Amino acid sequence: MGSELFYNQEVQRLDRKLYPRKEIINRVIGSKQFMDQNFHTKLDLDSVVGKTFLSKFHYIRLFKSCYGITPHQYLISVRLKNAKELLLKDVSVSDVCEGVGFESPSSFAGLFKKFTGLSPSSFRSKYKKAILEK
Amino acid sequence: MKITVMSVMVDDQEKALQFYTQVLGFEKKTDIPMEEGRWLTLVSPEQRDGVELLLEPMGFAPAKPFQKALKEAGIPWTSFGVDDVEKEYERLNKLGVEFTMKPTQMGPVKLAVLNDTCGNLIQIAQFI
Repeated sequence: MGSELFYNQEVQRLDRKLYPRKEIINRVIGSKQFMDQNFHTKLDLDSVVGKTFLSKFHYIRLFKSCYGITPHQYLISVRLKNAKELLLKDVSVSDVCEGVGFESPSSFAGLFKKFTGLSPSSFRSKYKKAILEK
Repeated sequence: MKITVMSVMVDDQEKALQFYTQVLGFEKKTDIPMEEGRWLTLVSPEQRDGVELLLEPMGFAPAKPFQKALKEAGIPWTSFGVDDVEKEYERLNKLGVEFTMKPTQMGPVKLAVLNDTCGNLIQIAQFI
């Protein structure tokens, strides 16, 4: 068993067909990794796009074709993932908001509720309780 | 409506429990005796309140040729997310896990496919 399997061949075929321009794709991957490392700073789309040397429109289209969501949605998802971890470490809601790069507590609270279904403080209460009960 | 359970059909629930917990690292969540087999679910220790994985006994005969055909084509039954495919490949390789696909990049994704020893191939994947 190995590379002669149908699935393995399909993965290689799709890689060649869907992602023919490796150098361009690597720039998009680099921009995603840049967001992973710098989400806590005041990142905006222009600073992310600038590093790829692509036009904004082209970059957004490529990013979505790679990751299924826009760069802006991705950045929000990274910030919220890190916010959840900080909330469970008992960091205050305002410090979490600032620590993961959101500019205003109200936009943070609104996005947090939209994506998790809970307010930041409710999330903390629910999951801290679950951890303590375990 | 919520997504609470996904399932993988296994030819031996006890053997699957050992592999999925001791080798892959999941944790048993529920274990309920049924008329045939058990309602046996696992969770990831990184997401104990997340979607449960049901180790489903192969009670329905037509499922067997389907499972066999998928495996022979190298098609994974399902896919699990990992932070680092290379590291997980090294860790599992040392534990003697058989891989039908070594870490392979497809655009923005890195994939590997392993044999769960219970009739299935399982993919591990990471967006790089």
